[in-house]
Amino acid sequence: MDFKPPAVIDNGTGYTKMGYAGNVEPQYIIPTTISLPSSKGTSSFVDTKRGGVEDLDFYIGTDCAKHTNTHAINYPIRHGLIENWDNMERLWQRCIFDSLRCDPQEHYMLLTEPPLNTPENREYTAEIMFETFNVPGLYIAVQAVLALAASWTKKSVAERTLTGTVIDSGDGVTHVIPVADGYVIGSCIKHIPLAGRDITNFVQQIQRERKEPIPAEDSLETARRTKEMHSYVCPDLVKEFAKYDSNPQKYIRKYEGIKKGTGRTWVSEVGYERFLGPEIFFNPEIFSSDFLTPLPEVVDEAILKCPIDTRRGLYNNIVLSGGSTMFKDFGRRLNRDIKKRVDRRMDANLERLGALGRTANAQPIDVNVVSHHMQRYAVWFGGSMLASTPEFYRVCHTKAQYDEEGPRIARHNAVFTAQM
Amino acid sequence: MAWAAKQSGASSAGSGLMHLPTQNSILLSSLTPRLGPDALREPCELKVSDFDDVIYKLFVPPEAPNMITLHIGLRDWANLRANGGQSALDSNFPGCETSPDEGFDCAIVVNADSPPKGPWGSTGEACAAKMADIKTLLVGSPFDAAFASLSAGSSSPGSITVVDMHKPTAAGGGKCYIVPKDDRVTAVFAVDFPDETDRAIARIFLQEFVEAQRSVNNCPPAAYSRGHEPPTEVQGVEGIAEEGIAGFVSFTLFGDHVGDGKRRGTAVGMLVNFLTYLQYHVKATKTYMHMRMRSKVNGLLQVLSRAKQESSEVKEKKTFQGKSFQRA
Repeated sequence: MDFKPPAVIDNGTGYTKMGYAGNVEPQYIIPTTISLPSSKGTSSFVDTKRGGVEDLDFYIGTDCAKHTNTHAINYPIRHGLIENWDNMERLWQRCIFDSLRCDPQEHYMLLTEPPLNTPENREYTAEIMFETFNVPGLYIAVQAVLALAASWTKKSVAERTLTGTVIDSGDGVTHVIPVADGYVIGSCIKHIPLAGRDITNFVQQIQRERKEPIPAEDSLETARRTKEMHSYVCPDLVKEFAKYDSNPQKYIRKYEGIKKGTGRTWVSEVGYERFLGPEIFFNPEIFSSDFLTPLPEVVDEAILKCPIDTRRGLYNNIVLSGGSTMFKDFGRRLNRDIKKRVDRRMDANLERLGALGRTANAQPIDVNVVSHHMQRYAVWFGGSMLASTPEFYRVCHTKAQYDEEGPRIARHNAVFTAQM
Repeated sequence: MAWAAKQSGASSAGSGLMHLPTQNSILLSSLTPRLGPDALREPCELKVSDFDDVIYKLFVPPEAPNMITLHIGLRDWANLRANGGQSALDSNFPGCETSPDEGFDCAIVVNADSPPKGPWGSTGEACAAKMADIKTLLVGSPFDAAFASLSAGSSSPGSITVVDMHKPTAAGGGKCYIVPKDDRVTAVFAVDFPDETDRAIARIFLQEFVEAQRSVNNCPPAAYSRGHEPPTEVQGVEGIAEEGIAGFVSFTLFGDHVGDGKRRGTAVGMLVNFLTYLQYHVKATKTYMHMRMRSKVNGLLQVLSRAKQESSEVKEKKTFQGKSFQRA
C-alpha cells in the first residue's frame, strides 16, 4: 500500500494542468479561473444568516462559465505569477478535493513556477501547502526545467542534461528561456508577443479578406480549427505559393461546418493560410507592425547574451514546449534558420581573423532543435516524470523540515545542491 | 442545517460545494466514452488515487481495446470482503472479478462490447457510473449489509463490525464501528487528525455540526463526544479507549432513514464520505481563516501608511505654467 502517486499541478496563466504522477497526460486541463458571488454587500466574509456556507460558494475552471449570472470570474494568475492568494488558495482547495480527490495529507505535491518567480511567492506557496493542506512534501519546479526534462524521452540516459534553451509557446506569449544545469539564466530570457492566439487571428483575417462563406459567429472558431487541423510550416514561402498555384487540388483543403441558426452546412476552402499562419514566427512583418524580429533571431540573440561557456550546450539542445510549437516541421525550419545564422557568423569571424593574418580553426556549432511527442503538455509531463522517480522524494521539502525551519526552506531548490 | 445540506446533495444551487461527490470523476471521464455510445476503443493505462488510501489502476490493453480492467487497492480488504464486500462485488458485477495486479486487492474486468448487467441498470453508461463509484460500493458494503438487515427486520444486535476507514494517527482514530440494534443502526466514527490545529478545528466543527443537526426535521440523530469518553454503544469494544483523539461522532439511523434503495444508497454514500467531508471542511475553514488574516494585515498596512508623517519642509510652489513665484 505504499503506492501513493504524488499529485502534479501546473498552474499556468490560461490553463491549469493537473493529475497524478506516473501518467502520460494530465487528468484535468481547466481554465485557471475562479468565480465568486457577485458582491452585493461590502464584505466578502460569511453572512451568518445563510448558514455559513458562503466560504464554499465559488466555482473553478469550466464550471465558471455556467454561473456567470450570479458569480463574477476572477483570474488569480497574471503573467504566470500568482496575484491573488485568497483565490489561489481556494482554487487549490477545489483542485485537490474535488478534481483530484486526493487526501493532501497523504500525497506529495509538485507545483510549478514561472522563471523569475519571486522567493516571496515561493514562500507563500509553501505556507499554504504546508499550513492549510498539511502536505507531507512539496517540490516547486521551474516550468522551463520541467520542459527540458520532458524532452528526455527521446534520449539515452547519458545524454540527459538540464542545459538547453526552452521555447515555450502557448496561447498568449512565447518565451525563450536559456537554462544551464537547471539554473534559469534570468537576464537572458526573451519574450515574443506572438503566440497561438495571434496565429488564429491572422488565419481569421486571411479568411475574411478572401470572403470565404463562413458565418460571422463561427469565424473565430473556424480559424482556430483550421489552424489546429491543417497548418504546417513551409521551408520556402515563394516556392510554397508556386506549389499551390500550379496544383491547387493537391494542396487546397475543404472545411465544412453547420450554421447554428438554420442547420445548413457550409463549405469553405483552406488555402495559403495553411502555411501562412505559423509563418508569423519566421516573418512577423506579414502580421504585426510592432514586432518584427523573427523567432530564430530572437533565440540566437538570447543564447548570445548567455555566458560563453554555456552557449554550445544551449545551441545543442533547443527544446520546444507548448501547443503553438506543434506545427508540422516547426522544429526543422527553426533548426535550419538558426544554423544558417550561426554558420554565417562563424564564417565571417574566421574571415576577419584570416585577414588579420592569424589562423584559427573552430569547431562547427551543433544546432539541434528537439521535437517530441509530449510537447503540448511538456511541463506537466516533465513534472509527472520527475515525480515518479525515487529521487523526487529526496529533493522534496518535507513537512518536518517546514516545521523546523519555516517557509524559508522554499527558497532553496535542490537542483543546486552544489551550493549547499 | 448541515445535515439538511448533507441530504440535499452537492448540487444544491447557491450553497457552493458543500459535499464532495462520491464518484471518482477521473475514472468516470475515462470510462464513459469507452462504455457509452461513443464506443471509444483506445488502449489506456491510468493510475489514480482516491480518498482514504484507495488506489485505482485502469488498464485497457492495446491488443484487446474492449477489455477494461479496473484494479482497486483498499484499506483492510480482507475485513471488508468478509463483511459484505464480496457479495456486493458479486451481485453488482457478476462474473467480472479477476485477479488483481501486485499491490492491488481486487479487480474487475468488463467487456465494453457487452457491458455487464446489474441492479443499477443495463446500459454502458450506468456501468461506467457504477465503476466510478466502486469505492462507495466496497467500503460501504458493511454499512449496506447492516441497513439491509435493518429494513428486513433481521438485525443481529451485539455483533459490532469495525471498518478501517482512514489511516490512523499516532493517537488512533480513522475507524468506524457499526452497531446494529433491533430498530436502529448506529455508526460511530473515531475521528482524529495528525495536526494539532486541525484537531482543534475539527472539535469545534463537530460540536457545531451536532448542534445544527438538531434543527433539521427527520434527520438521523448525531452525537459528538470527546476522545476520552466513547459513546455507550461502543464502550467495552476492544481498543476503544483511544485517549487523545479528536473525538467520536455517532449517527443513529432508523428504519425509515434507509427505507428504500435510493435513500439507503445516499446514506451509505454519506457515511463512507464522512471522514473526507470532515477533512475537507477543516481545510476549507483554515483557508477561510487565512483569508481573514490576509485582509486584517492589509487593513493594518493601510492604517500604517496613512499614519506616515508628511515632511515638514516647505515645498516651492509653482504656477500651472511651471513658473515659480515668491510670496511677498
